[in-house]
Amino acid sequence: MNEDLVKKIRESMITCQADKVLRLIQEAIDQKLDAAMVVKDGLTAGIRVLGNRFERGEAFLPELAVAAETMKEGLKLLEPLLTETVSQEALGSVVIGTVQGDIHDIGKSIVATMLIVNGFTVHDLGTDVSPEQFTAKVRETKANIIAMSALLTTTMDKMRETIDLLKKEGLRDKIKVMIGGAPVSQRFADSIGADGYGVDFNQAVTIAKQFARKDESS
Amino acid sequence: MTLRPKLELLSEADIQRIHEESLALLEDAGMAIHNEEALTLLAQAGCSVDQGKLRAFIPASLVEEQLRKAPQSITLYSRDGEPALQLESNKVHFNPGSAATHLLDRKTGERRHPRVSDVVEFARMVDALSNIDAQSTAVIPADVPSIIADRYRLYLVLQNSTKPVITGTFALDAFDDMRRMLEVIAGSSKKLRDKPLAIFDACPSAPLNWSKLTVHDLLCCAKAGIPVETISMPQLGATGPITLAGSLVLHNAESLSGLVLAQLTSPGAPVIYGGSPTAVDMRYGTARLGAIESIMLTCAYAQMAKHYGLPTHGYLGLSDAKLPADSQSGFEATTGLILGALMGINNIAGVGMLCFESTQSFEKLLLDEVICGMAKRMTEGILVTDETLASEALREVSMKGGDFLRLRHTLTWFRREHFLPGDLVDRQPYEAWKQQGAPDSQARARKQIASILESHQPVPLTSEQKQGLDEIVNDFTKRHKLDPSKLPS
Ligand code: B12
Repeated sequence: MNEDLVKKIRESMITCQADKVLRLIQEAIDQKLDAAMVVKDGLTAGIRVLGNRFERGEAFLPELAVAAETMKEGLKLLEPLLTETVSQEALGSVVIGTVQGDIHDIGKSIVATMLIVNGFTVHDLGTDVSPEQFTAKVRETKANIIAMSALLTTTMDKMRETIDLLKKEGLRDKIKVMIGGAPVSQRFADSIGADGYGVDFNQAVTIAKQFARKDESS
Repeated sequence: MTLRPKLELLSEADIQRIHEESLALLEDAGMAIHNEEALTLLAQAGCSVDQGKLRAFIPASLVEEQLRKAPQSITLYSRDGEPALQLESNKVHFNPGSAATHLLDRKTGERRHPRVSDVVEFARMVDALSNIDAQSTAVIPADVPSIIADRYRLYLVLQNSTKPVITGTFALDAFDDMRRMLEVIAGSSKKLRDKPLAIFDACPSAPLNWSKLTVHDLLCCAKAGIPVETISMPQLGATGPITLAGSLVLHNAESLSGLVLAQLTSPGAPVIYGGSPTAVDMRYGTARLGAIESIMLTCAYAQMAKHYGLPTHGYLGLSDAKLPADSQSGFEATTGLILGALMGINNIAGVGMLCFESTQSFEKLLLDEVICGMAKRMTEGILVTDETLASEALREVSMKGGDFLRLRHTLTWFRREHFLPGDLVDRQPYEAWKQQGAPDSQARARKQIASILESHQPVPLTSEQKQGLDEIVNDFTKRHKLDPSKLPS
């Protein structure tokens, strides 16, 4: 019975039936199913399948985006019932945003979606995010990764400023910094002391996973 | 008689429907506008304004009223004050895709960040090419501090060409620096207003939002009498509806809101209805500029603009391929340029550009110039007169024998009737081509680039103009606490 419900959640996740997923989650909560299992074998398992299909060119961004939204909403329903251990199961927690003076956000949002699909917790600050706002959010969420996006030549320098502020606030060695966007390059990333640079969402995920692995081993 | 061949994507009824939908959208969803002055202007003109949310709801009557004030024709002048671009009716002009963060090295083919020397060479190439009618500040030099790179490229382009320039800013303090440079060239702010030599691009942020930077530029242009292009650019499926009609409504609403703002700031302000809609690739997330849907939407909004009688701009001729001699580069550029020309878009920007508007290429610029020539030829249509019907020639040759080659008629008409692109287009017999090392279009382009750069010398600025520009560069460099003597030249 329980198995069935969780399976249905997984299947509806794969077919991107957002409303159905949320209805089923409510049912699972009413039936007092184990919330952790619902997350792991229902939501996460479903979104993984979609992620794999995407990699094979069988699923597309609108499907992933809807699934990632559903994931967020589903987690909101389940969160009060989850124990600490489950949230720790996430690969890591990421603060993401487009830097100050810049309002390009599609690339940043796609990176955020892919991180969610791949098991990260994501705090999206949106666009025009100042170094102060980044730093405050890092402090608040105890995130272990910060991801900054800049699409304009003139706004790239805000990444440097953010890193400098993290240093000043004594947060720099607690967090990994990754950056991306059209004018950014590996060389620029090196020059401002970022830990990683990605040309697209695939690389963003790879780098975040590397960060997560290093975190574990240290 | 000559028929001007043309393209239509919307029926009269469609145009009416889209017009009404976009006005209704401006009225009930409104525009978010990050600028107090603009919101005040709109409030005074009768819009209801939510100051807290920076949102103005624009009634249809206001749009209709302001539409009547906008000029239907805008002339751009060359650096030496000659009329150069006539943006009106179905006249077509071309300029390069602008603000590339990368460049393909013209010798090695490597994709790298552009340098000052590249900006200079690129401007000189554009200056030399006859089917490219205007400059754009096409590449961003990465060897000057990024904070001043937007205006420094204008400084470089102005020195290396007499053609008018399409440009834009990346930061709030750039507009004034750039306006001052243009005033130095024109002679005064009044002369610049009378004979503008540059256009600024200002992009609203779909859906229905004017960012601080872009609305600032829009108002500044209106005040200075400098033409401004509103570049609405919904990304279908990301910042705009996935459907073409839906994104067209959004595009039209944003463009009209820009027009209203400019006219309220300064009645009669020169505004060009432009855009750069893109189709989001749902596999890679990239902004597809070469996609047929992006091109269709551009032609469709141009039809809307023409319905209003406004000058038009479009981003066409770009390709998402990575290499200039990839056939994708050719077919995407050709589709955009030919259709845009058939549509009669007045200012078509985009030649040279590859890879989602990120990478300029000398080779593509040159190859695209051929397409521009073809497109211009196409728009001239087929001239049907007594002489072109060639009745005499036809009778002479068919009855007396011989051929048309030696006829006066041929001599008189071959240059006028035929576009002659030169050796860039391969029309040699097979063996001759083989003997020359079987050059492909990239190799042919590279050879010509080298020879153009060697032979073409742009007209220099007067020493007074040069000095004036240098002073402005000095000013903004110091204002940003940088050392002017360390700038590359
Ligand atoms: C769409 C677009 C806009 C839209 C943005 C809408 C939105 N909500 O995001 C609008 C219309 C608002 C816009 C405005 C402007 N734009 Co614009 N825009 C673009 C365009 C065409 C596509 C950007 C995009 O969405 N791409 C699709 C996404 C999926 O790709 P992406 O952003 O590159 O992200 C991917 C990777 O870079 C990477 N990535 C991104 N972030 C991160 C972060 C991390 C941590 C990692 C690891 C990876 C990563 O992964 C992403 C997914 O694969 C680009 C051209 C280009 N090729 O970038 C110009 C471009 C960026 N814009 C440009 C300019 C000049 C402007 C304006 C200044 C123009 C003006 N004067 O009006 C204004 C700026 C306003 C402002 N204050 O910010 C220039 C920048 C030139 C430069 N050298 O700086 C570009 C390059 C176009 C050009 N050649 O002129 N723009």
